[in-house]
Amino acid sequence: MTQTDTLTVDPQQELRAEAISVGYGDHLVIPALSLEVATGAVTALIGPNGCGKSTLLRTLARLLSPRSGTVLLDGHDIHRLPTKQVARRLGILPQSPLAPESITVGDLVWRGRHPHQRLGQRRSTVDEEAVLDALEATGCAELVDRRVDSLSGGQRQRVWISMALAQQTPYLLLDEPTTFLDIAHQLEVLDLLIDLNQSRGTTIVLVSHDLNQAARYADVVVAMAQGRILGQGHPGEVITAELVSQVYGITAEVMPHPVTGHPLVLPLGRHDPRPAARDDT
Amino acid sequence: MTVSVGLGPGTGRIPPPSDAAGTTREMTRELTRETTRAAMRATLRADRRQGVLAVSVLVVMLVGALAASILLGGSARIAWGDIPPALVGRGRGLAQYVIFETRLPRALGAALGGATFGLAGLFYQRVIRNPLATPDIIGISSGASVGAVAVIVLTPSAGLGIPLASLLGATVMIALVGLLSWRGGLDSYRVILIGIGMSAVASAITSYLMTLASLKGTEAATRWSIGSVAGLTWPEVGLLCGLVLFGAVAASVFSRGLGALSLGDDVAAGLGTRVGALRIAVLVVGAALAALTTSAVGPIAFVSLICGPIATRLVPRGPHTVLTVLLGALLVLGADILAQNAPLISPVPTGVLTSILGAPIFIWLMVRNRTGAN
Repeated sequence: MTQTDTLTVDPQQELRAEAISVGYGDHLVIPALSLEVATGAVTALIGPNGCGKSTLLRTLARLLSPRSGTVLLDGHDIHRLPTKQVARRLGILPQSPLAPESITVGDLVWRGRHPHQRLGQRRSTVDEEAVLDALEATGCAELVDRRVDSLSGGQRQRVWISMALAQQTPYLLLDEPTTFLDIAHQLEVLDLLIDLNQSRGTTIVLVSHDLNQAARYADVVVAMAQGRILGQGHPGEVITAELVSQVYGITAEVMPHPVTGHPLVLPLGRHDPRPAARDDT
Repeated sequence: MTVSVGLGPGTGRIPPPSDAAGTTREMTRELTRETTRAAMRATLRADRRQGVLAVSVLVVMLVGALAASILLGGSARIAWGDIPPALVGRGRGLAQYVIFETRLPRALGAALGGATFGLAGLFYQRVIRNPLATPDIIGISSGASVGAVAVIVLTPSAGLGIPLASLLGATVMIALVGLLSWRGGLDSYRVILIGIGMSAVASAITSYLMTLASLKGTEAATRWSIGSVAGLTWPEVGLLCGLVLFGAVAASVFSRGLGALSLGDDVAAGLGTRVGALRIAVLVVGAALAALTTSAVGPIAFVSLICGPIATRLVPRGPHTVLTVLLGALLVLGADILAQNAPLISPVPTGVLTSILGAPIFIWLMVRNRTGAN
């Protein structure tokens, strides 16, 4: 169908940051960072507030320009590519986007076709099918004529993801897609992202505040502090008590999840007893 | 039961059918999926009817208002038979003067001017994402008033200079607001705040100029700063007509970009919109529309502020631009009909009645908006 072009993984596909420095005003958030996003995988960027993970995501998505260094999308400097061409390759869902008043779900998702349309062109069947696919994939089929401002937080987030899906990009970047959602809706959104990754081969990069969710849902975890990457790789290898202490400055017990085997982080506060196992090393 | 429309194939949630019952289940599922898709398709395509209906109604009302304005305007009584030839400029004597030289340009000018004010307002509201951020609020009207009032007060004989002076005033104002709000890009909030501030400065200058004027000058200056379509001439109507055409082209070029921009700068950029370039282009085009219209008809209040929000609420799914333009035309024309014919108060400058009609609608919309939001 209409998704076939994104189903096959292009061998040239790559999203890479090469020695980028990014900052706002006088404040340098990221000094010289390089990262290669694993194609076809789900990558989670984790780290404390202000560590530069959102800044990194926004730079990868071209929303910010690095002061030095380059972001490469499929071998080209992302800032030298035409904006629409980038938008056909890479979708970005910023943190808590705002929908215009009284817009319907269908109309919002339709905006995702923007990069595929040309001036004066009428709505095509290809566009329509893409919108339907996106609504279906996120379970928003029944919501199509509802107003976005009448939906619950979880539904709303799913609708925004539908919009990004209608864009049909091989890369999808999301800034804290589960913030402000209750646990059930968080799982719903994360499961949906895994579905997309598995069924469409979409490369996903997301910023997360929840270590356990990152450990459970990501193929690759990138841990950041003060604009630098302190560890990256498979969650089982990266998420350790040492790394958590290094990145967040907290003591935590890390153990295998009793059901899934993924690392499970149990943070300890000042009033908790110290973990016995770590005392004697 | 809601059949799992949520997940596409390959997610492994639904076991593959292995027997006849399974095949039937699979077929039912596929059938339900197709039904849902057909329903969604219908929903996506439908509901344009409401927009078409609203546009048609407004067009009919506009044509009616044009006719009313031409037939009712003023006190001169023209024989019915003299009207048709006068409408195309082939009338005789009084009919030719009253219909072709006075009422027709006035009516057309009111409609066209209202249309460009409405469009300029919608551009600003869209691009700044704030219903208050219209060209008149952020200083274009007050800039134009400084220019016009300066000419009226300081050089009373220069009749032709008023439109040019108001255009100059508006342009200087836009340039100042633009320069003062520029921080490597235009931040909407700064534009509004600096615009309101500069607007206050310009009003103070206008007030000072008024104190210098003679009684006659004060009267003329007051009339101008209220805004009126009385005394419009064909060249001015031609200018307004050109502006409407220019605005229509601009609106169709900007339409998709503005649609994306309504989702926020980041989402719009992610959808391939060049946000900075679009914002500047729309602000400049909107300013030009508002300034040139103001130079012809004066700063008619409230039109650019209220038409966009009314259009959005009238028909949530649009087409908002067309509706806004029609509402602007209808509002100014309707106000002008009242300005000429309302008992007790007529004749008054058009701007008085757009405020009287517009302000309550606007307040109602804003209050309702406040209680309805979040």
